[in-house]
Formats: sequence, C-alpha cells, structure tokens
Amino acid sequence: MIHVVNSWNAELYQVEMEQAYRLRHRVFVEERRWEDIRKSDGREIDQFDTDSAIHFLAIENEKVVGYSRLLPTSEPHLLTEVYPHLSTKPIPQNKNVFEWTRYCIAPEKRGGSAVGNVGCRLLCGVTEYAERIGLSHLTMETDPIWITRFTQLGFDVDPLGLPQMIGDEPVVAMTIKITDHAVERSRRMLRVRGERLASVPPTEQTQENLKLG
Amino acid sequence: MQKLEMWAFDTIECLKHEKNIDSLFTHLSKIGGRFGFHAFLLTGVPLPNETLAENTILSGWPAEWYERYNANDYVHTDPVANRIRETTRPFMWSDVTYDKSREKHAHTVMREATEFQLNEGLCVPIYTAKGGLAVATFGGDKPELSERDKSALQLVSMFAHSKAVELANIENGGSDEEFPKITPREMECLEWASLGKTAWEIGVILGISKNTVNEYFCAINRKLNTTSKIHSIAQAFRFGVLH
Repeated sequence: MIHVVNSWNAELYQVEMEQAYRLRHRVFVEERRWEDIRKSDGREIDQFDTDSAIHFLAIENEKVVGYSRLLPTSEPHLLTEVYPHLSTKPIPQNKNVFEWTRYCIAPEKRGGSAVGNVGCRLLCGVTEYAERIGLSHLTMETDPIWITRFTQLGFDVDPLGLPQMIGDEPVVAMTIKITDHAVERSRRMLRVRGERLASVPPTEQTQENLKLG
Repeated sequence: MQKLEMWAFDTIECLKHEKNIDSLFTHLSKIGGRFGFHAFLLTGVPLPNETLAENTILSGWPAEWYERYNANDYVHTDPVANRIRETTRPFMWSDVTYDKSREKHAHTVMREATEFQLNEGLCVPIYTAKGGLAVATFGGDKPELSERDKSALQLVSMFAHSKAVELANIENGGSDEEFPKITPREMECLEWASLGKTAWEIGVILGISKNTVNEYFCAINRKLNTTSKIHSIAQAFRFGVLH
C-alpha cells in the first residue's frame, strides 16, 4: 500500500518516517554514494523536509520498502537551490507544479531493468495523488532513461536542459504533464491493479477550510 | 540559452508533432546530419534468438550494409551491440574496445562497416517502461562530438524513438496496450467465470439463460481475439481489468 504522509498526519507515521529516512540513506548515500548528504546518524533528512513536503511510503508487512517525496515548487526546492544549472528554461515555480524527488526502492524489491512491482505502485501512487490534488505538472531531476519511460506511460515529457553528469550519474531536469489519461494508462501498462492510495491526508487548502469550521 | 539547447528543444517539439513515419525518417536523417552522421538505425536490441530485421523500427542504414549485416547475423557479434546492454549512457563506437586478434568476428563487423563510410558512430541506449532495450545509433565518416553534443543527441533520440514506436504501432493497426471495450454485462460474466463459475451457474446468478451466457462469451472472445474462455480470462488479468 502507498501511504501519503504530510504535516497533517505525520504524527501517525513517526515509526514509518524513521524507516523512510533510513531507506533514503541506504539508497542515496550508501549505495549511490551521494556523499554530500551523508548523515552520521544514518537518517537522510535535508532542508526540504519541511511541513510542506509530501512523503509517499510503500509499506509491506509493516516495513517501508519504497519512498518518494513531492515538494512545492512555490518554495525553495532542489532545482532552485541545488541544481539550477540543470535548467536552461525558466524553472517552473507555482502552486500547480511540485517537484518529485528521492524516488527509491529497497534493493530486494527492485525489478532489474524494468520497474519492479513496488516501483510501479509507488510511481502510480505519486502520479495519481498529483492528479487528485489538481497539479498540472511534476518537475524532476533524473536519469534520462526516464524520458522514454514516462513518454511510453502516456505523460508528455518536456526537458528543461541537456543531460549532464553529476558525479558519475547522468541527470536531466524535466517536467511531466499530469493528465488523467496518463495516470490511467500508466496503471494499465504497469499492471497496478485494485488498490488505491491509502490514507490520503487533506491538502493545505482543505486543512485551512477545516480549521475555519 | 545556448544554440545547442535551442536546437534540441525545437527539434523535440517538432518530433512530438510528427504524424507519419516518412517525415520522421527525413527528420532523423537531418538530425544526424547536423553532427556529421550520414546514417542512422533505430531498433530494438535483439535477444540471442532474434534477428535485427524483426526488431528494426526505422532504418537509415545503407541498404547493402543492412542486408549483409542481417544475413550474417552481425548483431550478435558486433562489439558495439554487445556494449549497449552494459550502460545507460550514450557512447561512441570507438569507445568500445575489443581484441582485434582474438575477437575476429567482432573485428570483421567493424572493418566491413568502414566499406560504407561507417567508421565512427554514436549509440544511445534506450530503456523502455517494461524493461525492453532499444538503441538509436548514428554512423558517419569522421564525426566529432563534444560531450554536450552527445547529450543533445541523446535527448533528441529518445523522443524520436518514442514517436517512431508510436507511429509504427498505429500503422500496425493500433496499440496493443488498450483492453478492448466489452459491455458491463460481459464483464460480469468474465468475473464470475474467473471465480470458477460454469455458464449455467452464471446464468443463475445473473438471472439469464445458460445460452445467453455462452453468447456473451462468444462476443467476448471475438472482441478479445481469443478462442477460449480461459484465454479471455487470462487476457483480462494481463490488462489489469480483472484483479
């Protein structure tokens, strides 16, 4: 199941979020050797893990086996603060565009050259949520192979710059357009059946409305 | 914004709007030409028991070379083809090292290619959503590319590949990713059958005759292009329509 966690329901997910931070460290620091985000306590948390961040947890048998994060582009995020050189077009910054970051799957749950089952569900969970809250696009900095993958899944991909090497990894900044057609098509193509997102917390706007009541 | 970026973005926009395979072909030739390539090949990477011909999406290879390459099954001895599987990054043919004295078959392919002024080239590995592997490869006489040139060509190639596959699918009579439309009633029959119910039992459940149920199955099989109820059920699971 894919669980959506933000400041609204974070209290209920303290244990799982700890697992998530450790999974992030395992994958990005230990495996992919992003040394500049190494933390001595083995929990990969950065300056963007604020109340505005939305976390996606793939949970199986009470274990977090996959994780991803969305950040509002209307606030400082990776593309503006860390990788502005990846974008030669103006960086999208508005309330209808979020940045998709830290997509990681526990090694034992991966699918080889294809996207594995957990990866598929996580991908579909994030895009479905994006559609649900009315986002027009998602931005990301990722391996260029995702251009082909997202295009085939039905998303219109727009590169923001040429691919560049960061360390020993090729990275391209791009946006994908969120449409219900693409979200449906990717569910079909990736054979993600049945389950929808679990525990979708209210958006900020809804939270505001609820407070007024 | 620099000239190379502008060219890449404009090219990608054009590629997205390509409507037929012939104009895509012309466009790809021009794209290669910008960097000094006179030939290109867009193809799936054949499995050990497959041929290049059955995987080719779009060939801008010299015809004689393509025929010889295919007839001799060079794709399985070509050191460049073997390298594609090992990386996600674009690479020049000259980046691929092999022992000329030991690997005679590999050397034969590289040497014969030069008869067609294919002395150097760029390979762009392309990994699909379902784990398949394809490649856009450009060949030429003496092309010289900077790292930025390779990045630009990689970017553009990926969009060209996606569009080529899409256009080729359309020409082959439609995408194979869409589950054919069946009526809600037909869907119900399929669901009950997948739970092991016989036509008679389904008739009882739905309040219709066994004959009507079987007629529904005839219609389902026809729409799904299957010859049995079992096959139709399997297809429904495959497409994620049944869970």
